[in-house]
Amino acid sequence: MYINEECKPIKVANNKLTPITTVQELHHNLQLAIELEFATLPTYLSALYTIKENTNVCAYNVIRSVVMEEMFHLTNAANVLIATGGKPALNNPEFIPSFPTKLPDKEEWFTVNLRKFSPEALATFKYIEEPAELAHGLITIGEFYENIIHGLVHLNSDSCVDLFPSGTCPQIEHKYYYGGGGIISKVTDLDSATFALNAIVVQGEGMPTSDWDPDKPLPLEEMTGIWSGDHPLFMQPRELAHYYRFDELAKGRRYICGDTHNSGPTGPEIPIDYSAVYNMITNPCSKDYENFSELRELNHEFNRIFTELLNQLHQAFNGKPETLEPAVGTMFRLKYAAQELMRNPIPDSPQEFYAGPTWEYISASGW
Amino acid sequence: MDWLDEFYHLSSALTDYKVVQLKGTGVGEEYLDVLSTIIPQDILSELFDCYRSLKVQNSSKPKEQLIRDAILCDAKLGPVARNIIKMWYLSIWYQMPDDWRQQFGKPNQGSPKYQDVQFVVSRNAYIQGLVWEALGSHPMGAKQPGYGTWSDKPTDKGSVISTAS
Repeated sequence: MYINEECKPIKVANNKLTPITTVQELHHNLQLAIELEFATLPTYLSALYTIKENTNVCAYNVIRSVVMEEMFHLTNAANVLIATGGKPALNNPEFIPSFPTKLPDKEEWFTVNLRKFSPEALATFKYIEEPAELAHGLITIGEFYENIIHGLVHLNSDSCVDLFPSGTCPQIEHKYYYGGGGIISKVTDLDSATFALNAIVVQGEGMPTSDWDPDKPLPLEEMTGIWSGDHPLFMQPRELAHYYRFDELAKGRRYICGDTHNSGPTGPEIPIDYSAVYNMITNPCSKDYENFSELRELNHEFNRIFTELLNQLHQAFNGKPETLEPAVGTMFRLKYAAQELMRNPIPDSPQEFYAGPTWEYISASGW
Repeated sequence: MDWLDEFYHLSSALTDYKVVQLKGTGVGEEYLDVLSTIIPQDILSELFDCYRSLKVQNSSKPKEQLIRDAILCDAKLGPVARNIIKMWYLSIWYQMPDDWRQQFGKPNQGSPKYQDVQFVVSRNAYIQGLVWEALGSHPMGAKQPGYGTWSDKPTDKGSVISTAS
């Protein structure tokens, strides 16, 4: 189940991730976490924005709900980095991968592409959100965070390390996050840091339990592994974990009471129309537009807005949280610029491909 | 070249928006559908021919004055071109002027999708009207600009870019 045509799983040695033993390594891993969370956004948004207006309403809302929560994850990881005296860095070209890519947490068993909304895109989405319990021998996002939490515990027990120093930059407060599950919490010590990182994992992969049984039905048993952690953690309405939300779309059916991981969703059909989608070229790159000056300019305009957004986020995570307010405006402009590109056919494309944004940070010289 | 392509190029000259921006609204085909339902085919054909000959004679994008003289001042083509501009900016089809209708209009045969009366082209077209972007505004309640952005001046749009560190 972990193999598709383009990527074969890589079995990782028993000791999958290197234990974190220094604050520097911790900061490096938290920076990777921010990059990891951010890297999911172009992937999800590319599919989301190719959905034609007023079509695939359910799929649109599901993908959007996950996108919102990825931003929550990014913020939580950034808050832990800030609380431990680190500085998130988002304002450079290396922050964002060039697609196709592997995720930066050493999950090398699948490739992430920018694709239009399609069964292939949903298959990748499920790989990204794969619960650790299912991916035997493979690294998942959950295990990546578990390794960070172990590092936090280890460093916190070291009396020579001031793991949560005073005088760090202001963190992002809960008031800046709305429209998705979870609540941003302030990180001040080991418990609050662990809580923030766990909140990430249980939204994506579901509630982890040591004796998780993939045949336990939903929702009669609380710990089925299918629910996201928003209900037990934040007293928010019950919602499926990201993996299962995407699974519903992939299978075209809802999970209902009595369904299990192994049964899959057996509820009502979800109407999905893969033809009501702009035919965006997979992994758009600037070379696709080199002979078309207007498309090139449109893509450049997108990248300017994207760069502006990364600069604003960088400021927000480095002392000026209030920059998040104008950043939300930039996010909407980014959306409209992406949709503008995606509605444009690439001239003379034999496959009748449409354009799409290339998601590049423009350094000062390229402005 | 089919009419859609010609329609985009003419529209680009009439609205001063790039073809990719017009295609980027996603509603160009609807506008052409409205236009070709209401305006007699021979007049539309003449309009596209006229613009094409301007392009052939005067580089790829003819100057504004040439378009004014050859198209907008023309009693037959001018009102059609003005309606195309209004449709792109306001996403509304305005009834053709009385004298134009008497001289050039044809009664609709059967019950076509669109009649020559004033109407909003579609729910989505309203959101895509060029007027909003041109104003530095947004279609209220239909296309979110982000919390608090309504207090920014339209000219502030570019200034945030300079925050790059």
